[in-house]
Amino acid sequence: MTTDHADGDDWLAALQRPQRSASPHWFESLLKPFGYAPPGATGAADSAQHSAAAWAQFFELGKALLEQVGSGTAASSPEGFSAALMSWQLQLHSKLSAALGHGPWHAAMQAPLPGLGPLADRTLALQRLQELQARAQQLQAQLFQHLTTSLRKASITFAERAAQAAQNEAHPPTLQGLYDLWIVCAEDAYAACVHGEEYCRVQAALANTANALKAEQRSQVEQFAMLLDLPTRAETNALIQRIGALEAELERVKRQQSAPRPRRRATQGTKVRK
Amino acid sequence: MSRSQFDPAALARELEEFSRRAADLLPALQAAAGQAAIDATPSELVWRDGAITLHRYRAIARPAGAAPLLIVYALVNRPSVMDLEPERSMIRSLLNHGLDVYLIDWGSPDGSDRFRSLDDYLNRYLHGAVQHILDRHGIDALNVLGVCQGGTFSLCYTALHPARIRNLITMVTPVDFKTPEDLLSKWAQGLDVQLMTANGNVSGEFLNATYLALMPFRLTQQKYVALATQQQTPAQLATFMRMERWIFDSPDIPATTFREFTEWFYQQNRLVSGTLSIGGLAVDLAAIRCPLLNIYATKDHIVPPSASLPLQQLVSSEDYEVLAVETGHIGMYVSSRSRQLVPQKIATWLLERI
Repeated sequence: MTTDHADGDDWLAALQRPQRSASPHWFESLLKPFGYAPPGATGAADSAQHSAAAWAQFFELGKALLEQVGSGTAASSPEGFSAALMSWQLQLHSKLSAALGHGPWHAAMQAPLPGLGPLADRTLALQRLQELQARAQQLQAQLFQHLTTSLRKASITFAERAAQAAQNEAHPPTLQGLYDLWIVCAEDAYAACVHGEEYCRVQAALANTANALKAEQRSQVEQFAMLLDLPTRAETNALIQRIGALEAELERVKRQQSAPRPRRRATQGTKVRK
Repeated sequence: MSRSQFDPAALARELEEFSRRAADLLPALQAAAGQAAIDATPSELVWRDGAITLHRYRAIARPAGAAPLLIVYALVNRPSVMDLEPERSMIRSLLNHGLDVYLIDWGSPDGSDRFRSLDDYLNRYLHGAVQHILDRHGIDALNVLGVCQGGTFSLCYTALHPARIRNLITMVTPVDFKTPEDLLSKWAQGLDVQLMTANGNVSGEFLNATYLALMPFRLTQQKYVALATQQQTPAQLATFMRMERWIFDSPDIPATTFREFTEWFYQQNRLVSGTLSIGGLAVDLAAIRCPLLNIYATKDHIVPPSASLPLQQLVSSEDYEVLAVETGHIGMYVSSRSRQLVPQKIATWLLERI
């Protein structure tokens, strides 16, 4: 009978299974900083060795510091201890940087961080900003590609038509004629490009991304504004709408008052005051 | 291979001449800029609702007897192009024909106007202006000249309040917002307008950039190069500078209005499909029965003829006329061809329908 708590690596495989089905890289990225690599992954052995070496160096450095303190060479004076500690810190920093700068931790840090701790919202907001900026850059590049292609087409058409115009011995092309011809070729090629479905799609996507970026930036600025007790756009909007509603109500009351009142008809039995 | 006839020496001489002219042009343009204030026909402010104002132009000819004419311009750009200078003033030409001309000025919306809607523009401001003119003259109906987006507004208003409009003239007015030639429409289809207007009013600078992007080589290069290659008098340069100022002096559009107009008209084409409703009232173009003159520009790159022409099939007006003017969108307001043709036509058409 097999259980989820079977011996060896079975428990690990059982833990990985649901996570992998939900997000294939989630588990690996979580364990990456610790030198873990999934079975069969390229460079897994290298990563593990690299990480093990880093930890070994860390322990060696710690041992060296303890030996210095224990032998009394560092503890003989506060200055001596401080110098030993600083030297240890420098070595630690240099060793760890060398070990982790190229290792799995460094690679994992390139991926977006999950929102953790009290600043989770800020972290996520910054990530959204970065994603939107990257998306906008991609779309700009695509749009630029479209426009470059249209300019290239315009140049080819212009060269052909200018060459044709140059055959006219009676009226050789003037500079202004050539310039006007270029404008015609450029506008025609541009129009063919910007009327296209793909161009329209990319341009709209870029506009939408730019607007999303602006909204995100505004949201962050508003958070700071609230910290400084400054009015936010949302509060101003609420006031504008409230004033609008009051104006409408005032207008309604004015109309009511200025409308001629229906005369009360005298009915039988009405007493006439004398 | 045949020999080409390029003459490098001649081209170099031409370039040199162009450089000289361009160098001379700059101080002349600078001087013209100082004299390029808009020289408007005198008018009187007769009504206002907040920053929205109604102006009545002073008569300069014997009244011809037609009902007052209200000009309804677009929200984008300013109506001053209708009265830029005495020699290029459509309003002055209409006055010369004895018409009583009013103009509604939508003002300069700011952040506090972001929630202003199409319902506000049509059923509050335009309705208020129309009511003022009707009361002032003691009449039941007036004439309306709707220009560009203002024409679309005028159509909606006439459909909602048909009894108040005696004759309707639409000029470079979009009706079908999804035709193959309509580049603005193609660009608008994928826009998330909700997201866009969540960031507030839509700036005039953005709209200007969009219009320039429709024909960037002509509008940002050739236009200025042509200025240097043609001999210009100081008066012509002053006109050029006035036009420049007008083109780039665009008010912002209130966020709500921009969203409604883009979604309902450009993206959903509700005016044509008959599904438009403003302020809870259905806008049915078939409710328009008054005489209608539709003026369009054959070379219009902003409102292509195909966007204007379907109007005839959508309204119920038996008295319907179309006038095609061989010019572009801006040319409709200021070109010499349009100046000769359009005000004369409007005046004659209105006076035939008193």
